[in-house]
Amino acid sequence: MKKLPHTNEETFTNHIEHIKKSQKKQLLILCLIPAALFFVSLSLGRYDISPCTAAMIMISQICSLPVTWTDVQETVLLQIRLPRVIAVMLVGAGLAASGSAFQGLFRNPLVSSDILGVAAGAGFGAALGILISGDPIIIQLLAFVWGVIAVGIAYGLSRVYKGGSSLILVLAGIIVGSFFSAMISLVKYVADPYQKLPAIVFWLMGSMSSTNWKDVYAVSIPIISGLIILILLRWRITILASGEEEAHSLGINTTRMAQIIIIICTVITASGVCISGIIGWVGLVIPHLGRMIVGPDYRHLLPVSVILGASYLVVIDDLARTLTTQEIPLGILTSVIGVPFFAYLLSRKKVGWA
Amino acid sequence: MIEVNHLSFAYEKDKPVFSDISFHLQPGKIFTILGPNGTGKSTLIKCLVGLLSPESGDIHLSGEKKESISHRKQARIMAYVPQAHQIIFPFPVLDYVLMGRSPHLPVFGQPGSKDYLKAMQALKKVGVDYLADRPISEISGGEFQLVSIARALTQSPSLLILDEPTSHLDFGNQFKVLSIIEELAGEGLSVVMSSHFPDHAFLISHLVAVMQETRFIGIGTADEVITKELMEQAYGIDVVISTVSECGRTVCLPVRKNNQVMN
Repeated sequence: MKKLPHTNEETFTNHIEHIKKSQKKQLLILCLIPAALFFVSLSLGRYDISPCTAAMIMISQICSLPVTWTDVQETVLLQIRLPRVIAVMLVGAGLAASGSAFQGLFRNPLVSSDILGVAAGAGFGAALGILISGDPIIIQLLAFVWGVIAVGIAYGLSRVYKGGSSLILVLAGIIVGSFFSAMISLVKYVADPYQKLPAIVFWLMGSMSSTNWKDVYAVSIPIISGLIILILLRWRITILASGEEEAHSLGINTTRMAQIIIIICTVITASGVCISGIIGWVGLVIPHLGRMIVGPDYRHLLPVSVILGASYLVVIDDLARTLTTQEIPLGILTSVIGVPFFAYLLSRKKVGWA
Repeated sequence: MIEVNHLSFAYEKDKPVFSDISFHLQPGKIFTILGPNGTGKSTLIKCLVGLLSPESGDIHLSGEKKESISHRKQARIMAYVPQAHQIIFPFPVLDYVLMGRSPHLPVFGQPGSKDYLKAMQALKKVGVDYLADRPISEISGGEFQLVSIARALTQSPSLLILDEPTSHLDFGNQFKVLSIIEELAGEGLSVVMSSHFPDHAFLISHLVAVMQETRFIGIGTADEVITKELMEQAYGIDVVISTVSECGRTVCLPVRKNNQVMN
């Protein structure tokens, strides 16, 4: 933050307005990153389509343009790459935003979007779906439902303890997460090792390779509406992050606010996980990166988390599908790149928490 | 301003933390609660601000029953300064103080430049406006206490409740905080605070209560309550209460049994 002048009221107000304006400008500039990555990602892949052609093909869907591309290019772009890139960006944005909201809610820089067991629950649901049916819709549905159930159990468990603090909730989440990990192992153990087991293992590693428009339609509404509510609540999350007693004495119903944030984050994360499988790191690392850029205030941190989360995951997904002839599972790459990245963050002094 | 009648609280049945607490405070007056560690001063304060629900008794704020006032509205009447605690994320001081505007803004609302101005004025009021840009994690304990008071003032309350505002502070900062509290009361703010120092009650209080074993064993003006008998009963030590002519006020000092001289 720039030095504040302490002269008179008008100068001060002008200065604040000025800071607000420059912060808005910074946010708009940051928005260019995912926008650019969006077109670059559309052009990447086995089949050659330049970013310009990609843009032209999309514009041609709305108004007529002279056709300078082949039908195959159009099909690859519209039916394969476009839904995938959109879904990846939504999932990345959702995981990063809910991770940073949870870090604020629990006042703990170590928690991530799946701290309450949503990922393990969803993994169990998906494994169960693969075991009993194998239909992608049933797998996604069960993943979503069991992700939500896992968080519900964790929340219920924390309420059993009298005067349940946020630390108890984190503990309950970890316990429920490990319970569902055991359940996943159980499903794997009984699954047919030639057909079902590889499918389960592959799902758990996370991949967006089979993403289609149906997936995008299904998850865009819960993820986008969840993100909008989180962004609207961003200043209240800042206050919660400053301390629970403080937030209470500032007129915030902390219990209800916590419930709202947990519900929103769970819906966002479960929606993402059910189409992408388990993707770690984004919900932990991206909020830290955001904090290093704009500080701990959620008024800035939350929008920046959305932007960075979408950008990070789309880059990782580009690498996943272009690095080798066979796709590398997304969940592996996020961590492989995430770990050295996190080490780099830790080597810097200003990590953004005390 | 605040009226408390027969307030009781217990974590477990039949083991009251405090019981039958009553007091009444006029606008612009300072009420200090004294008492040894573990007598329930902090619990009482938490009940007053609504962090804990009392078992029985009632609290009236500005003549209205506390439960009938909405939570947000309560935060516009009453501000709370907790004991110093660890802040996880290093918010800039001005943004931290700004949070005091929360009860005046709608749930989805964001603070505007007028709110920033109020926050800055509050920082000026307590004399730490030079800290505005500093991260909250990098200021001293004394500065943090003043910043917390500034945040409470940003709520524009008519009642300020402080839990041991002078604990963890050095000699000079204790006095600075007390002077600011006195100045605020002079402008019409009612103050309820807990303290470990009978001297502080002598310095600025209009009303003093001594709490021991779940109840007030004395309540009245400082001169009425801070007596040799009551202090010895409350703290279990011998004390001397005497007027120091050089500074023209009464002090309460602990002494060794039988007034032995320390070697």
